[in-house]
Amino acid sequence: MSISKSKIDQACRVAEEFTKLYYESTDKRRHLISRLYLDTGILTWNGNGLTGNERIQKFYIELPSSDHTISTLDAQPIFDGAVNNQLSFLIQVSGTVKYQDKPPKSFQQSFVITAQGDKWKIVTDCFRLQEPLTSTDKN
Amino acid sequence: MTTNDPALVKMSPMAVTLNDTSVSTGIGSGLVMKERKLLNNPNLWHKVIVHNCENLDRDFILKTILDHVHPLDFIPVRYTVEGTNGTFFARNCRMAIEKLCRQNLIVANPTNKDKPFKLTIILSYSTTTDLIINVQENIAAVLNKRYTAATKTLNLDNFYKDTDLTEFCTLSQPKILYFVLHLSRQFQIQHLKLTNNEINILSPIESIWGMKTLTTLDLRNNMIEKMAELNILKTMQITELLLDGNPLCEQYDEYSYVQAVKEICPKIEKLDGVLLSQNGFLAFRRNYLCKMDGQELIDQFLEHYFCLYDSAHRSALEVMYHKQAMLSVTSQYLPGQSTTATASLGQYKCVSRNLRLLSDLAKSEECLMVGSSKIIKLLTSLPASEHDPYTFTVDLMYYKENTAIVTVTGVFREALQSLLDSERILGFTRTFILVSVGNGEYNIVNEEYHISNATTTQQQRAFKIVRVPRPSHLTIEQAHTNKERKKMAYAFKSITNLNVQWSKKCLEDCNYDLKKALMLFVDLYKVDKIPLEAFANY
Repeated sequence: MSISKSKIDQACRVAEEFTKLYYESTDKRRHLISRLYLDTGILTWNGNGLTGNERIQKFYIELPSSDHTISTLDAQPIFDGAVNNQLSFLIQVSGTVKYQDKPPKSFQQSFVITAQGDKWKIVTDCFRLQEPLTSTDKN
Repeated sequence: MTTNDPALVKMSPMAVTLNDTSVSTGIGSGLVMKERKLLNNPNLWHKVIVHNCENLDRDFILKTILDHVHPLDFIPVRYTVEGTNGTFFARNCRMAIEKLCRQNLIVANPTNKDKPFKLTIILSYSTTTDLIINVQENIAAVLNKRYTAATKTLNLDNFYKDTDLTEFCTLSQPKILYFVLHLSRQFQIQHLKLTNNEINILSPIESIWGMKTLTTLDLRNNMIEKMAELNILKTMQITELLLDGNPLCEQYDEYSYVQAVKEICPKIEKLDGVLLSQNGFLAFRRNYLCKMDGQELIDQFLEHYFCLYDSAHRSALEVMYHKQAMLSVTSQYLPGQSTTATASLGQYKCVSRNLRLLSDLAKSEECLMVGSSKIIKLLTSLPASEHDPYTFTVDLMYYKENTAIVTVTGVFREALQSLLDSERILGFTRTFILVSVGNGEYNIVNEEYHISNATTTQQQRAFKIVRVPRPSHLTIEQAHTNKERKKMAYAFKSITNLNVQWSKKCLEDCNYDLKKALMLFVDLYKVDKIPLEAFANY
């Protein structure tokens, strides 16, 4: 059972389209962004976990305005046995983000997306700034 | 004649006595119905006599009775010992008295079930015009004592034990709490401490809704059972809340606790001393676990993985990857990083993939390693490393059935190629998708590995915590003496997870050459020649 080239290509294509849509939504059209997530989708933002569309939407509404610049993009088809043969991709992004007027900060983000009907939806979304924004780290 | 001394008050001719006889003959409830008028009149003092309670502490008796009628209003005042009985007055407490009557005026004694408290209640003993009991002055004086103007703090910790209080005044009684908070409005309060008061009901906080200066509320060590009690705080300006030591805390795990509090009180920035958010951003949290029971697996996996990765036998990692696993690497310079030798990511760049730069999709397969042997070939070609686990952040995003998805970030230092090199510290992000292969073991099926320069802060904070050095016997390549062989067997066992017999067998077959034995192990494993029983935790 080898991984077909077409699956690998598809992963790359879908990743490019999806991340374009995702970052455009995050930067310019946040009000609909929770639609990109599965109902059971999970978002973590620097270790804060948010589950369910309502909470995720609320988080994006409250997050100060952002402007993302992507530097690297990587994608792989996920091993069938891990996802019950449901076509899913693992995507990793790195780049910089500017919040409001603050200087740009490095971030890394990894997504697992899966097909739901004719749309791709986020199963998990893990966002980490390379350096924390807040001054005290009590962990 | 008006007085504030109950001893001088004469019992009113309108008074009605309720004792165990009158209530238990069944006429009791009928009697109470008839006297509703008396019970409903807030200006009538009722006298309660607690029989045979000499030598017992006032606070203990009153607390027992209050716990018994909780959450009904019942405020006992002017407790006096009369002979062998304890007496006090109360008013405006119809429901509490009705409850006591329904239970035949008997209140269980928590320390002695054979000697419950028997009560007699004399309704309408006096009126508020004849007997003036004003606790306000006393409470106000105590509040004054407990207020610190310099820090704008009102400390109501363990309030009822205050020796300057004349009445039994417990904040666990909602009406008393309301009254005390109401009186505290005269002060400029930023920090309100209500610890150790057995508070169960928070609705009295309503009386300080208008207190705009209040930013910190300390409710630790009370009896708050439901998160819903906090709803009363919603509209207030409180930014720091302390809730530890309440029964409600035990209903939640670390993550859902914070989520639940935030949902009810979105303005809270600090909870139990931990910063939740600052300047509109959620505060950094080191780890996230979608399920608490995934912690053990992840700790073990990461420890095992990085131990091997950093060791001289990185190739032994092969057994952790599924035969058809995938690995791809990406790398990126931090903005503004110069390309001096210390910042160079050259070695990583030449195996990196970046779909943003590939216009030709045909190349996408080139840098995608499929299969564990190709993966190990790539990983062993990268420089030797030492990771600093104290810099790790771990996000366990998914843990269900047989699959786990985890993202780890942190820093590592590259082994020096020569003495002239300066130390290089790099940052990494790795996302692993793991599947269970039975026996509690997990294999990596997908991995995305990102390397970048470490930020200045990351470099400053790295490797500050000195770890206990790994046992040095891991570097023994050949073992000759029995002592050395024993050490090597231990090392082999900890690297491979094989049990004692199998570890020995591998080593013996290779004449105690560690490198050879590990390669033998990997070869056998790849062709499924190592049964499940060979592993230590089978």
